[in-house]
Amino acid sequence: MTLVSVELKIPALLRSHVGGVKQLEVPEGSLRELLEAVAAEHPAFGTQIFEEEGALHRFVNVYVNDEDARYLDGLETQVVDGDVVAILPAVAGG
Amino acid sequence: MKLSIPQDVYDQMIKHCQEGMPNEACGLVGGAGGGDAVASKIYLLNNAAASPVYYRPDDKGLLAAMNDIDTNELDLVAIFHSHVASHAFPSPTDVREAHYPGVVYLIISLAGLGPDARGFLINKKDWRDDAGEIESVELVVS
Repeated sequence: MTLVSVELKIPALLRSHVGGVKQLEVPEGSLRELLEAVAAEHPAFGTQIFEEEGALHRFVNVYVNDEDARYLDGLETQVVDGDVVAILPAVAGG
Repeated sequence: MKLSIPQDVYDQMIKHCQEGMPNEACGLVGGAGGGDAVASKIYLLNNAAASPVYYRPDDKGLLAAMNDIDTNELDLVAIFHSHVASHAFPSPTDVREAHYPGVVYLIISLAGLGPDARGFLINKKDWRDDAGEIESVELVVS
């Protein structure tokens, strides 16, 4: 039997805050639940991605299966086993 | 700091920028980071903003490139984009939207007679800050 969970990809910038790993296996639920669970275990990770009010920092993009969560249900987006969640600092300029 | 770029990687980057005219073009460069960086692989991305004054890589291409960099045990060493009508120097928007400390921001100006590529670090107290200080990076193409 293969164990399936949600794969959370950590950007290079934040890996030092989660023990240096590139990805974490996390349980399914809402994006908020998932990220807050990681933040509870790794508080410095939480302060990097969340604003004080609990919103994602505006320069932190979160993707669920390559879709920007802002265009899904934001932090209330439900992720299930087998989904891939990726965090990336924004890339843009002029 | 110095960034070494193989000639073929450099040529692909310039060509991608020229083909993106009249809009800005963009992409990533993978390689070996940490101190002086050495580029080895280029990722040519689409500018989802399709604008002559702004770039934002399309999400799927950006994620695929980042995954490939991880899979191949590379570092993200540079993020490049073109300036179609201004100098190869970070604009206020470039500084505000720079959130990759230690990664070289390569800017290719197509405003002159020939392409002019220059590299910069944009140093911030906190990577999420709007304000940052611009530091020139030596580019070595060989």
